[in-house]
Amino acid sequence: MKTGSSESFQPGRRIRIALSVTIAVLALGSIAVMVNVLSARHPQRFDWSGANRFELTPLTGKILASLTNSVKVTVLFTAQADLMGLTTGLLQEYERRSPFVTLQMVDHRAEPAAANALRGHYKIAADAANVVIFDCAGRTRMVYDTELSEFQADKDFLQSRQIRRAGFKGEMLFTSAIASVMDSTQTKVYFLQGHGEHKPDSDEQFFGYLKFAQLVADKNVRWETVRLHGPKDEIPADCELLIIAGPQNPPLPEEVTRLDEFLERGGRLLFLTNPIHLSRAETTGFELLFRKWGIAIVKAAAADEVYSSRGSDVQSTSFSAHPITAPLTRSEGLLLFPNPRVISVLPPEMRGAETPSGENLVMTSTNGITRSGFRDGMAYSRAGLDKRGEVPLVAAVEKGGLDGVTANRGATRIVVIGDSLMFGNEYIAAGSNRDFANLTLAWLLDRATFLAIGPKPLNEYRLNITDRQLRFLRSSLLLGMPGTVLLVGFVVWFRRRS
Amino acid sequence: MRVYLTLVRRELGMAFNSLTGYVVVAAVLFILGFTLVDLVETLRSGPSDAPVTELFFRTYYFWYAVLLTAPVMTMRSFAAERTSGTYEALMTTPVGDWQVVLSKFTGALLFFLISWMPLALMLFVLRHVANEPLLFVPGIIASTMLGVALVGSLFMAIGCFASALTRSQIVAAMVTFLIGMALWVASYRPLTGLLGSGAQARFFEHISMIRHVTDYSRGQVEVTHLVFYTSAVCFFLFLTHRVIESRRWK
Repeated sequence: MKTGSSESFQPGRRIRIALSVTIAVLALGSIAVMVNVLSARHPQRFDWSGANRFELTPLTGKILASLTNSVKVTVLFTAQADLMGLTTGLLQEYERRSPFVTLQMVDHRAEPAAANALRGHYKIAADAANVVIFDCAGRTRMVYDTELSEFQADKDFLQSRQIRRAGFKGEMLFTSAIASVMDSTQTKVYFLQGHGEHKPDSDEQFFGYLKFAQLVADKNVRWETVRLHGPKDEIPADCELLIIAGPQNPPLPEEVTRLDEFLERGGRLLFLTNPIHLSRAETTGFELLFRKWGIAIVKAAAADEVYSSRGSDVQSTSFSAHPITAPLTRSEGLLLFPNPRVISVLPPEMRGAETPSGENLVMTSTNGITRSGFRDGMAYSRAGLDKRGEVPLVAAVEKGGLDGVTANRGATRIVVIGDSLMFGNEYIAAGSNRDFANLTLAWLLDRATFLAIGPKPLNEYRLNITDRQLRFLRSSLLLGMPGTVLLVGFVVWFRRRS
Repeated sequence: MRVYLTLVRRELGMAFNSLTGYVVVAAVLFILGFTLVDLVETLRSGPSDAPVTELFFRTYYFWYAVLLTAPVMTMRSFAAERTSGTYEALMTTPVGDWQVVLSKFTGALLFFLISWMPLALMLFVLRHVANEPLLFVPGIIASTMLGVALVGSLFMAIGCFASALTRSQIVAAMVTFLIGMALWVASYRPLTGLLGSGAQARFFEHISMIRHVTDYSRGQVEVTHLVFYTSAVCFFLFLTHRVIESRRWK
């Protein structure tokens, strides 16, 4: 007769126990997996923050619900980037709301190999800042972190040069980017050619515009070239933005008329003057066109007696609070103009009743000077005639936006930059020139499609505490609290020991 | 229930009648204080888009604290009883195995929560010193503490399981640390962007504790995360129960 204790050592019983335990563990594991799969398929989220920072608008919800193809979103940010938390939080909400949106995060400091692979794949410049990449079947759209904020200048901006981040445009831009990569019909940007302009497909070091054209392509916009010489040449109807990059020769009168008509229809125009006109002591031929729109292309070079390395170039850190330049003010950006000309909005007394009012965006420092005299291809300053102080280098105007008035295309927007070389292959990588180019394109290409979403008000968390308060915090948090606990521990230990 | 409460009280007593418990709490407080002082200095130099609670979990200090203190908090649970010989006495009393397992787990979790509770107090102090109401949003503090509690409960359950496996406290602590470290490394994988968008990516996304804690620190309470932690805790407690029960099979 077998006893209970000897029975427990029987192989059969041991196998039965092992089987039973294995089945029980597997069963519980399976239940746990099933419950998790169910919860992942039916996500529920409660917002206890009271701010609904990541709540999406119904318009975004509709667009996400209409997705039928996968959209891969890659956040190529550093962990320390200002808007990292808001950007990833919001994009996680997109991912949660749509099974077609997948999100990846790559910290280009912590994971340089992965970041370089992404840069190579999407042709992003090595020195480019933080960027969110939207990719749908090869159609890509980049949103740079400099575009994500809405800024508000301090009341005494001219003195303080302080810019406050007031709103977050993430949802507006991300939804717009998703809609853009889902749509197989791309918007188009045209480069005007035929007057010796910079070529968008040229990789020539100083004059080529290949890198700038890549920035255009990053916005999921297709670029083409256009000529207006011929009697039947027209600016195409699908032209979202016309870029006239450094024309060396003046336009024909009929070309000016076509350009003006394009602007009257709510067209968007980026014009960059070529420094060659300065060396030839010539006007560009576009002066009258822009004068009508409130911008003066002045026949004078701009220089800065302090912020310059060669004398003819200008390094500028003086920006207005315009949406294009506010992020540069905030990030203390520096723009490099190799050989700039003076570009300014017309003063009120020179503007007609219909002339739109614009804004000078970029200026030299207060050590700036205009040089309106020309000798042997060099500009020089004429005593008594030239101005000293802040000299404007870039100007922008906006007009219209009323239905019917501008054929429903929205507002006319023009940016005139006093040096086309600053966006050439060499100088676009200098200072904050790339950011400036990107912000300029973003403003010029901005259409009202997703403006209904609007920027979300943004809280900026800042601690204004004195050195004394900091010392108090240090001593109480690092010494006071842990020390008290240790002291209590020693007392307990000592009492129990004794 | 009375038996269960008595056992929980006994567990807490074991933690706070020795110097080790106070040293662990002091270490956690020091790490918390160090992190907050670091963040205060950062926020003094420039504004941030995120509140202190969120910034706190963007640093690795939280994970260092959890990964290093969880093994110390739980290594005693079963292993110390086995070494000191009190385990047999405990298991021969009229107490169910589940009561023992749950009381050990509850005791360890309460110890963990007690050591982390001062985080709310520290933020409250900071809010008053800096006179900045946005630093102390009750909803965000509550969700943050919920996140801390959930992560803590998982680590305590893992620790109880590891402690039940062995007589050696060192081995128990090492096993807890290794499982915790593996989970933490797995949590980090979705953030690297190297997983693509397949089932593997979704799996790692689901178990990513870093993502979970970030959500909670923003005031976003995801039911999915609650389900993950509850199921994982149940699973490890079940395993612990099986290990305890195994003495009857021999």
